[in-house]
Amino acid sequence: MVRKVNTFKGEGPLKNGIGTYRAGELYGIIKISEANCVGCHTCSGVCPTGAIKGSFGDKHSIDVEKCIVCGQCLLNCPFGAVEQMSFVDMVYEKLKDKKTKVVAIIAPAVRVAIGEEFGAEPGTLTVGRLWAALEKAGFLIYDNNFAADQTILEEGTELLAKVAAHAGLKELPIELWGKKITLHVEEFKKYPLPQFTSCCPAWVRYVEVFYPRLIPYLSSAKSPQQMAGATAKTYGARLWNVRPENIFTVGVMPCTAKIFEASRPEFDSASKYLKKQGMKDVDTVLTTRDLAELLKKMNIDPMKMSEEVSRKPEMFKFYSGGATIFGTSGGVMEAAVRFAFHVLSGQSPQSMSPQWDFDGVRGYTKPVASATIPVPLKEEYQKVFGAKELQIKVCVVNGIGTDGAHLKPIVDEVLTGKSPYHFIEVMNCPGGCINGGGQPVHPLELTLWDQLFYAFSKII
Amino acid sequence: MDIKGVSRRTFLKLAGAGLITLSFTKPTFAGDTKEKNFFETKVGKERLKLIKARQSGQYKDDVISREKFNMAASHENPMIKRFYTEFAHHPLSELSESLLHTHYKARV
Repeated sequence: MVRKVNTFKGEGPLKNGIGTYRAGELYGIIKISEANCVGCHTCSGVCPTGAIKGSFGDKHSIDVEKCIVCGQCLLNCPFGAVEQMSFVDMVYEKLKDKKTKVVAIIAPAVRVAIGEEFGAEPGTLTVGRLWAALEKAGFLIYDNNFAADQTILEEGTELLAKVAAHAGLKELPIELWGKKITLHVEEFKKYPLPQFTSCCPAWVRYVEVFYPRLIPYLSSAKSPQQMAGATAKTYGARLWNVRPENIFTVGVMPCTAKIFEASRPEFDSASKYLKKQGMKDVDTVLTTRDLAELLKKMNIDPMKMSEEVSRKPEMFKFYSGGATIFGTSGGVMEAAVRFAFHVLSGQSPQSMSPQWDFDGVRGYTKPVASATIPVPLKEEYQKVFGAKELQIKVCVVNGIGTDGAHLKPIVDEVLTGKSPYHFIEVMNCPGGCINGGGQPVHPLELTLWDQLFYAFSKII
Repeated sequence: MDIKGVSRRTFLKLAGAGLITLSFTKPTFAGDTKEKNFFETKVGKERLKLIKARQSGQYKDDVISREKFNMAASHENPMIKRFYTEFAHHPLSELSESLLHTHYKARV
């Protein structure tokens, strides 16, 4: 059984910057309710940044300056004492407004968890019926898996450009869809290797607050959510034949940090591109739980709909295997390696070929996974790289870990110039987005002894 | 808590016993911070089943995308090809850089 999480309405974006927050950003997205906190200290044991104040037995609170909004405390609090800022009412109102086209940007990990809010087993794959439910509620669909494919094209090409630049090349010819493009890679030499992924908004905030020296290593590619928002209001508006200012984009995310990410002031690139003031690329975010609440409010149950909706080549819905595994630790890495393998080798194995499976990077239950992937080079590249194959060295950090325990050894290597890797994936949450702070909450099981203990500690 | 029917004496005894055990035993998840690997913590062990179930859902979707729609890798998505052909030109193009790339801000 999943637990209902308490939510509250925020006070809106900050008018002025404060501490580690800039004007326009949302502040205090996660908070601990003093009334419900028994001081069990579980949250401190899962917090990646040591942002939780209070020792065992005391009421706990969150140091918002250090908080990276990952929501692991919320997910794991045995007493449901951690609460989340919610925008369900805002989206509900927008759906009623006939002038507005509300676009749902559905993250990969939502489709394996939303069913749990409607009584299904954990992990039940919900794609066609989730689309159907959202369309019934009045949303247009921009599957974030499509944006994950966009992300791989951008982030993967960026990685190849950096690797080529550091190998001393000035230009890198790339062949995509039978077309040749020459990338001028010299300027990428200023970016050091390894490249870090930038999809996880909690990780990005972690870098900005705790390791600003790592900023040059972060991929410049936006996260899929932000690529989706910017694309929806430009190219999407054109395809849908809607005025961009009448599009309201809603990230549907397994994540509480995505609520923060959408509020970052620089994410108004559709506005800049269209030279129209005041549009945000992603207007607001619902967590998986929030979406379930909204659908219940509208009496829509996706599990009563048919999953057998045919997926067909349709804009913003069609997606690859590489895209959908973004939701699990190691997925972004595997998708990027699949792309890089194709570009470098010129090979296109059959889609079910095990050549597309890079098991070594799958996070599973290891805190850190690393692998060396030998990629055969096509003839043209053999000359420029002076080798028959390229050994791509990659690393996957499966959750930052308590007080950064999983991550710190990897970061130390990078900062001391000893990192052997080309590319490092970091996801804040152990397991990846599937275990994100916005997902349905399955309360930790307390023993009878635990329950007695807390009942007793309440009365004394 | 309803303490009617419990004599003052019994209550004090219970309270005393409680205090003693409180000082010796911590509940299951309390202050579980000593382990370096999340998956070996008590919370991590509890979460494993859920993580594995959802993970297998994601890999199942990978197989569907590959088996039924012949798309293992991102560039094989014909809609991605269309997006670049009709709009963004190619990865890292000027347009891509302006709409699909960003920068970061030190927050210290």
